[in-house]
Amino acid sequence: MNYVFHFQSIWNNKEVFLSGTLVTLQLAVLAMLFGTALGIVGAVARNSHWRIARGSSAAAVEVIRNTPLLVQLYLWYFGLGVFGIDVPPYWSVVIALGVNNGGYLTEIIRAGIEAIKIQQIKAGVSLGMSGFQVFRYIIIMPALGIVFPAVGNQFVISILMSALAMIIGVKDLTYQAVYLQAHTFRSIETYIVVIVLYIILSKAIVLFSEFLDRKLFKYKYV
Amino acid sequence: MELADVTRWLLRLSPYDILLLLKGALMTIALSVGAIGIGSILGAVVGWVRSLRLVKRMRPLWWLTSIYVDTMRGTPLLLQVYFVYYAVPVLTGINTSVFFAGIATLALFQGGYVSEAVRSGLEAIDRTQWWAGESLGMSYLQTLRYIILPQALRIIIPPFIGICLGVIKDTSLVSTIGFIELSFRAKSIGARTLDSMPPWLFAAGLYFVICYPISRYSQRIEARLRRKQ
Repeated sequence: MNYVFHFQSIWNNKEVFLSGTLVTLQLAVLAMLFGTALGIVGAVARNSHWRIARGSSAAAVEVIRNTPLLVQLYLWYFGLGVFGIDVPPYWSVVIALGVNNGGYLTEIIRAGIEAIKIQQIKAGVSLGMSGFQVFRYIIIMPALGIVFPAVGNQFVISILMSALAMIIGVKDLTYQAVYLQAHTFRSIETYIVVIVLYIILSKAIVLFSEFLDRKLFKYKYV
Repeated sequence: MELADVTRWLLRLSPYDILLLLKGALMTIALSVGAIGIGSILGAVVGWVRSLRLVKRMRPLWWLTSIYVDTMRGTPLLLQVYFVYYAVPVLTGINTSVFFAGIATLALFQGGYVSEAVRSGLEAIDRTQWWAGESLGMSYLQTLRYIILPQALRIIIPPFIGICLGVIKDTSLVSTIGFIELSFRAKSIGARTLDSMPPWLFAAGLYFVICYPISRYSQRIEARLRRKQ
């Protein structure tokens, strides 16, 4: 191992890394927002009285959880085109990642909802809350509070999964790494920097979700 | 269109292509078994080492294993695949084949995740259990084998199956460096026939067939373990 490290060429391309990091972060945040919305819908459908909703939610979750994200990404990318819907790669990544997150978050949020006791809902109704108020203040928010660590974990996974975006040409951090190592021939240096950036990103997400947890669910820490 | 027509239209694959995809699925299974086998042993050893009190006091060893585990768990697998395939040969001068790079990356990835599962499982067992073994005159290995592991495995196995399931799905990523498995076959058939949907749908079906029984099995095991407690 007599390799000489040159980080100068990396430093000269710092804005490339910055733009890649921003794209990765954007993808993960969008996918997470989309996924949480889907997850809430899926979890509610899973507990509904309507059998079709229950069955289709369960089937969708099984399909999403048992096929690779890469395959799902290609299916969204090519599949939407088959139906004449022309989506740019960026948005097909957001859709694929969001739906994938949605599948996992459905299971997570469902566990939270099932932890809510029926007496709580009865208490809410007896206080004169409307149906939506019960849903919001007694079911969803406390359920999210219970499973919030798992949701934060899913956020980290979402950052890591967004690396797949490069396969269909979205310029995220991994794309920029592969691009730069081909241009500068400094593959080790490039990858080391990108690995460090990803670790910083995922640690930051962990801290951020802990912060959010304390902010949103203060009652847990009294 | 009838549902059957839609299905036929979606799966317009020649028998030869179906054969190729099935061969790819076999390769995916072989790759998963290899990577999971090597990775689990690696992960068990690293996790066991990291659970020792002695190691936690020996800072350098702790940091070294932490760097390994945090890198595996904190960076995308895709990046790890590229790193092992493109950057490691530059650093070491050893040219790795696609096959070796694919299995090695997946095994390292599996090892990183398994080690944390093993460590948390072992650390969840109270220290008094170790003392109990010692006071019965058992050797270290006997205590581990007869007292600690039966309890720890109950904690380790559910996440372990989850990790294996993740690795089976993630084998699709080594297709990006040219490892000829299911996803690679699907992609090349799509590129050859200019019709990407059928091979990808078929591949998705095959992945589902591989993963679904395992995920059902893990649900059953989890339910059984929960009942036992």
